[in-house]
Amino acid sequence: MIRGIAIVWGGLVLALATGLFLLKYEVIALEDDLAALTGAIAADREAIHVLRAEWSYLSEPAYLERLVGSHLDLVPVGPERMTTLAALPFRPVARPDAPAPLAPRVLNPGQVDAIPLPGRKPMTAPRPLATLVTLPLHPSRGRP
Amino acid sequence: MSACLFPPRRRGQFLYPGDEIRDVPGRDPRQAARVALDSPTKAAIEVGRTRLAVTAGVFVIAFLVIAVRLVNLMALSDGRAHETADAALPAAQAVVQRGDVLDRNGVVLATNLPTVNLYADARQVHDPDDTAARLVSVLPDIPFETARARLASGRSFVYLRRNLTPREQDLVNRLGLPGLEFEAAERRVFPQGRLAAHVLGATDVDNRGIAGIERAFDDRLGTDNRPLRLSLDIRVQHAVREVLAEAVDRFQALAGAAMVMDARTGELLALVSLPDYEPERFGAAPSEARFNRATLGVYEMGSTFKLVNTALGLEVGGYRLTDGFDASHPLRMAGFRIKDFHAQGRWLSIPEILVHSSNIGSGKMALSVGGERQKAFLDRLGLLSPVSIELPEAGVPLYPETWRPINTVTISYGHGIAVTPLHLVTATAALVNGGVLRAPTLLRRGSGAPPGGRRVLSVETSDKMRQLMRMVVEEGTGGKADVPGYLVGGKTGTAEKANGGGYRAKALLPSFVAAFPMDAPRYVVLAMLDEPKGLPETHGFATAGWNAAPTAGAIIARVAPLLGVTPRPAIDGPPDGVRLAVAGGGPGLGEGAIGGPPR
Repeated sequence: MIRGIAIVWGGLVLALATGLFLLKYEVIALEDDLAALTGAIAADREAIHVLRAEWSYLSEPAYLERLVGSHLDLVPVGPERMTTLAALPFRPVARPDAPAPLAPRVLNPGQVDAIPLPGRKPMTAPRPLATLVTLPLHPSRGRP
Repeated sequence: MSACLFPPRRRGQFLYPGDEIRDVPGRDPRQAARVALDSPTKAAIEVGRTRLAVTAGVFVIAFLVIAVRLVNLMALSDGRAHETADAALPAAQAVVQRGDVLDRNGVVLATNLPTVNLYADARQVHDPDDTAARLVSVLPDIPFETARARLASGRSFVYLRRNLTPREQDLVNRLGLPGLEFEAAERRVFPQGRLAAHVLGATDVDNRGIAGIERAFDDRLGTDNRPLRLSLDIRVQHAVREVLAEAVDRFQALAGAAMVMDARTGELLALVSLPDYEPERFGAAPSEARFNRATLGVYEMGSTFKLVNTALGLEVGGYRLTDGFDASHPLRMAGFRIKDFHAQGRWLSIPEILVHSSNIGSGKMALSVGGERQKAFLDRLGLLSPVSIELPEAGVPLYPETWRPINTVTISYGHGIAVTPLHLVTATAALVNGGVLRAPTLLRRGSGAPPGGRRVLSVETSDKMRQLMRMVVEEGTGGKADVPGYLVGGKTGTAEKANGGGYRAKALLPSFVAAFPMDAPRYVVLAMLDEPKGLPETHGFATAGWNAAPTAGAIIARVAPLLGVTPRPAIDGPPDGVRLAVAGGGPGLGEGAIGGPPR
């Protein structure tokens, strides 16, 4: 009886000691990982901080404007180029008796900001205009 | 298994614990004691046994408590493991010691960057001459004599240079000289350069604010690492600065100022004062560049004040738009003759007084309302108190101690009272936004309902003021500020700069204050130029209609698409009543209106 209990306790003590030993080394390894991760996070946060400042520096409007001026044909959007979808005119419906001459089409004809529009499709049927009129996003606004 | 570990109990002699070694009288010590029932020995043994049992019990309980506590601490961790771990590892420490400043969209305007400072422990320097020579070879901007003197000083800590770049640090490291050490440091940088210089201000070498927002919020930025979000929009700021710089350059002006304010909230989206400076080189900037003309400089604003005067007549004087005053003859008062620049020489209605910028009509209207009420009205609009803005550079208005009738007349057209341009923008916002005065701010307000303001005008007066401002642009002096589709309304003002006791006729201070779109004003814009010159294309004129008004118009044309204001088809002019009054003239009403204002 006594010997059996002693053996049980001895086994327990051995298991505990082994477990504690393993646990200690696992904790040491985990702490190393944690320190490495914390260091990496700190380094990343500092890098992000510096990069945010650099992003702001590189996206300074005057600098971007110089770059755009030397590489692109963009100009600031003026108020004359802003409108709403509802304000866009529909294409006038041609009369059936008048064969429409295919004149070059521009938006704002005769003005400095005239914009050429794509040409019409060749007339294959007498009703292409009617189909075009139904095309806009708001069919209810289409006039016959 | 259990039989092996727990062998069946062997029945034998009953022995109490300790019996084996007890010396029982009359017995062989080797022989187990036999105890007779009811003997004193038996009683003593019973007592000892009970005591042993109690002691063992106490120990068992104590060890159980310890075991439970151990299990609780190690396995269940007492519920505080996370706190303990967090305390041991303070995660997510701030990268830098001073908070960032952002614009309203989150663009970084000011931030601290980690750098290193180079210092020397002069006690460890072997050969100051050689060390200095080598150091100067990689950092040529340090004078050799300075470096040598510091290295030979024998002190344990002496700065050699602040804020090295990583490359410079590497070069110094490669020298391998003893006694040269690095110290982690921070430096305030302003990535947008001089774009918002007068708003941001500047910091000194120890990153303490010495001007602008940096100084006003020095404590807040130093203690709280959360970024400070301004109301500025850097895109708007850039557009305004560029247009203003072009105007200053073109008209050869000494200086300029421009602002864009949200008329509903009082937030300033742009605030530019030219000339400006690089915030990182604040100390080297000349004083006129450091001077914030938008919020600190006080100026006699000239005819733009007629907006305030007209609102005074409509709101306090109780005049209608059809009322008017005779402006056919110069107004004589206290030895001065007050004339009109755009003289019409006839009776003028109140809209005409504003459209033609009549000093005579304005003066007569102010006189009929009265000096006391004029002063009270200006005070109500905040024009007599220091401008309330989150900058240390806040100007204090100058106005006469005793408010004489001549002061009433000159103040009606913006002379004899000096306010900051920001005062005028704030008051104009109240005139057009329905009559609510809101303190201007450089901090972004939260989304949602606009902050409570102070009602200074009735909604009807504000409506009339909007119509009148639109008329000034449509038919009056502000025509060059118009931008098709945006319904710009405004007022020109050309002040003569005061010089000692008098005014210098050639030194003008033209300004234009505008709001758009006038059917529901969103933004108030001010452009001001200091001593612009007349140009051939302006026919030699240097008045506001020729320089400040087109500048404000150009600002609106650049800024309105950025701010998402949709252009709209023009409305058909002001209501008929106004137009009739403008066209009519009505000579019979003129003089009568001065005597007793209609209620």
